[in-house]
Amino acid sequence: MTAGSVRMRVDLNGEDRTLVVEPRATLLHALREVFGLTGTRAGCQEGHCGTCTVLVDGEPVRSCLMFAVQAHRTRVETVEGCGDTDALGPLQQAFVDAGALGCGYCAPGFLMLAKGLIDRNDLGVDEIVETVLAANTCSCGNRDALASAITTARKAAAPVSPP
Amino acid sequence: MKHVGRSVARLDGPRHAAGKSRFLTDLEFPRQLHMHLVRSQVARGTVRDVLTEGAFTVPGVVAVWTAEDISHATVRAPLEGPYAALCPEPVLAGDSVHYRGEAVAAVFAHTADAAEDAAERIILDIAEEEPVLHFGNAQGAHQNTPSPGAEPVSMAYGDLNLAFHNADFTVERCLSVACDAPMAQEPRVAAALWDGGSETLRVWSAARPTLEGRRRIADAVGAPISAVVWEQHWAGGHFGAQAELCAEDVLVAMAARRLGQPVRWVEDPAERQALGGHGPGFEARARAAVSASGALLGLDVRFCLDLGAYPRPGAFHCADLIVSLLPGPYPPRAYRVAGQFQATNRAPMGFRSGGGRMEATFVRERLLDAAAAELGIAPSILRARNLSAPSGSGRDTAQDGPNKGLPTASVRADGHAVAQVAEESFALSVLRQRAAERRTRGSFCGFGIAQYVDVCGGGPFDRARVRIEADGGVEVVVSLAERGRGSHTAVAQIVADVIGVDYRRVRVRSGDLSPSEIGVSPFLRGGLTAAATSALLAAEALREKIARGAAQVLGIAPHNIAIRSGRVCEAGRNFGRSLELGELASAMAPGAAAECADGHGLFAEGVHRSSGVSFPSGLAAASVDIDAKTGFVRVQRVFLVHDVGNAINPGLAEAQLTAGAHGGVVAALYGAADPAGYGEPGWRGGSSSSFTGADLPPVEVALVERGSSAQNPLGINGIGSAGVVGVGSAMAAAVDDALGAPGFVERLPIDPRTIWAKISADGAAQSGGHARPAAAAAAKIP
Repeated sequence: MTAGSVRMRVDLNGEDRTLVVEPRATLLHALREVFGLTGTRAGCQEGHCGTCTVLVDGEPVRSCLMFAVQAHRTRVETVEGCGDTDALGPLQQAFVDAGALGCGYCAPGFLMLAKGLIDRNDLGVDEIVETVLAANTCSCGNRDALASAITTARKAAAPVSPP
Repeated sequence: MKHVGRSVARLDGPRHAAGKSRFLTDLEFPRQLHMHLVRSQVARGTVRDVLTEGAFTVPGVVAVWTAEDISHATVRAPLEGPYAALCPEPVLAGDSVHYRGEAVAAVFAHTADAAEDAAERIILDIAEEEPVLHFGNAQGAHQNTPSPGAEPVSMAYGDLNLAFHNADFTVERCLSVACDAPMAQEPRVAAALWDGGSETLRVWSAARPTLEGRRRIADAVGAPISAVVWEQHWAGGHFGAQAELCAEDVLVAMAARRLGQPVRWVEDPAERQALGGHGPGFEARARAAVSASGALLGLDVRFCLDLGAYPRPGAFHCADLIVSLLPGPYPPRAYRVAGQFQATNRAPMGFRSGGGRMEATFVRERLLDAAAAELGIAPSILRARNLSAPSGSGRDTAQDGPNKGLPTASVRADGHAVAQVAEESFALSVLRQRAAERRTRGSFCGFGIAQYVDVCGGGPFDRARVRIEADGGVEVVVSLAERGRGSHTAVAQIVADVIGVDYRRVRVRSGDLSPSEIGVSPFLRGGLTAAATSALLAAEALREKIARGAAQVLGIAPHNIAIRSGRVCEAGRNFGRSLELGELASAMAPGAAAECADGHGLFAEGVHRSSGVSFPSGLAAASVDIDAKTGFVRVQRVFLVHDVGNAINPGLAEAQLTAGAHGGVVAALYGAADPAGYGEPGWRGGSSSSFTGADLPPVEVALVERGSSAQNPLGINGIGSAGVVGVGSAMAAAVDDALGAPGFVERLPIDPRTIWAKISADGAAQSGGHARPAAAAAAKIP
């Protein structure tokens, strides 16, 4: 533990994990470099492309804009927590089935953003699709297929709860 | 089950969805060094001194290099012929800098943070000079400007003077496409590892492994070209922009060799803003000679491309494509084109998706729209009168000059079929009529079309290897990297059909196959054509081997062998002796009972020698709505018809075209990297900040399979960046239509400010002062 480093705890994809980070390290850096979870990817690193989106206490955040230490005692979910190659989660399967993947680089960011919005269970299909498409960017994938994948997954999830 | 022609799911889909795919940024090496570059903050100047001492006060710094340390190495060899006067791009700038962001020093350290901290302590003493930031208005002010008047790219046929003499009217336009710098989703990465034991250098780069690139890397590390192994890897988004070899690729290779440790460089966001692959700015003066019946008699174009600070092959290739594709699907009776280059103090211009083709289409289609407006006929009717028959002859190959051998495309593309399918599928004439009707009710909406010819293929060679594993799986190695289009799935479909297995049993990966012989074209997105053809040849050779081996093991005549779901049996019989492919592979392995004479077991190689390029033809249409208060263009819908020749996987083809069309919309609305005061790109093109998926229109795609390419046995025309090529031109026509102002759009991207000014001026000119579309002009078009 180097001088100035901080010890922190985080519930990462359901596991209780401890890590030591420099205060200047971003959550993105900690996930990729410390935990080796490379499914979360660096995009613009300025907060607008959304490629690095993860869930912190259920809320979608840009992990490039959040310091790792800010995630102390929170619940962090990444794409690795949603399912594996041979056992995909329902949203991941919807992405595959709809052909919503281009090069796949930004896919985890889209997945986590959509998952966060679907899990909140207070938004309709159209609101979710519109929010996701307006929030994250993709330079080679298929926008229409993304919308269709999110629609399928939202409809399969629990119905919208009354306000 | 037959796989080719079906929209089967991508094999790599689950890996991507699970976040398990590995990209270049995910690469890590034991004991790796991190490189950070110190870049010029001025666009032009003389380097007086580079003070590096401060860097060594940072713990973990291993080396600091300036141009002297690498003997003033250059990224590419000096050019020849008409370009010999251009000075090649240095790996690190020496006595002078020519663009903002040019690397002057390189720091190597044990951690990325240390390298960055050390780089901040290096002081560049540069005497600033007045930069040339805008091309076209400062001839000769830059040391890298070719001699004035030189027009190194040109092509001509027919009697142009006669064509213009005989013309009933001529149309003339000044047209331009702004320099664009699309941002890749993934930061650019360069990494290299020198293995002193085997004396080989492994290189990881998003750049395409061209023969020239390998040679430069090999020269830079003092190794033979066969010692350079180019590892292709998944890369994230905007591949055209990443295609070219860069200074960083050469630097990491040199450092890995000299410092004896793996070296890795990852572009930071500021570097991406300044340097991300620029497409050259383009300006043209174009005129067309047209008869009263609307026949295109002559086409005369002069154009200039902005090279940026140093010449890159992409810019020249772009010029060659403009020259050969300008006539598009309508061959004029006489044609003359001449292009020149101008250097500016901007990041070197290279290639981008649709580069060259987008510019050529824009010029040609704008002239045709102008001619249609002049004649008062629908643009589609004028186009139909000029489309060539696909089996025309002659005049299709440049005889000399830098673009020697690159054909002009007109005679190959079946524009009629494309136009017919477009009308049948999307009722374009009805859409045009509806837009006209809405305009009479006060909306600024319009509709436009553009036909295009793209070019795909290339080579010169490609190679694939196919092997049956002992478990019955099929392994295919191709030189083509999977770049997010599902190409490996398409290859698996082809191999599966030839061998007779389920495509999910086929595992396709990219590998470096015989580096000294294979030169992958860095630009033409015909990668699938070459990879699929070589995989097909390999699979066919393997199929023959299977037949011979099975004949020996099962006692059946070779011509009587059938393979069903990975099981070899006698054709026409449902029962009787049979064998799993895996069992046959074991039986034919070296040393086994039925071993192959060549000692390779169930393995075969296919080599594809490209005999030329293919010319997929297509049509793009767009309907737009303009916000009268802001001039902003909202694209309502885009329609694409593309002649793929043979759609191996129609679903993937449609997805690729859709993504391309979205790229075209972005390029036509946002794609300008105009330089700001210090030479940094101001308004970023496909940058993440300027658009999102919510701004993009729905795209409807129709695939045509008529004009099959004769250049490969699969009849694949290719797709490449075809989605990008025509959309901007269609949008330009739609904006003209919406404003009732033929010829209004003269530049891409379309600038909302000029539209707003036009609407305001029209509104002020009318007595009510309220802007209305020119219904009279709109009603003129049937």
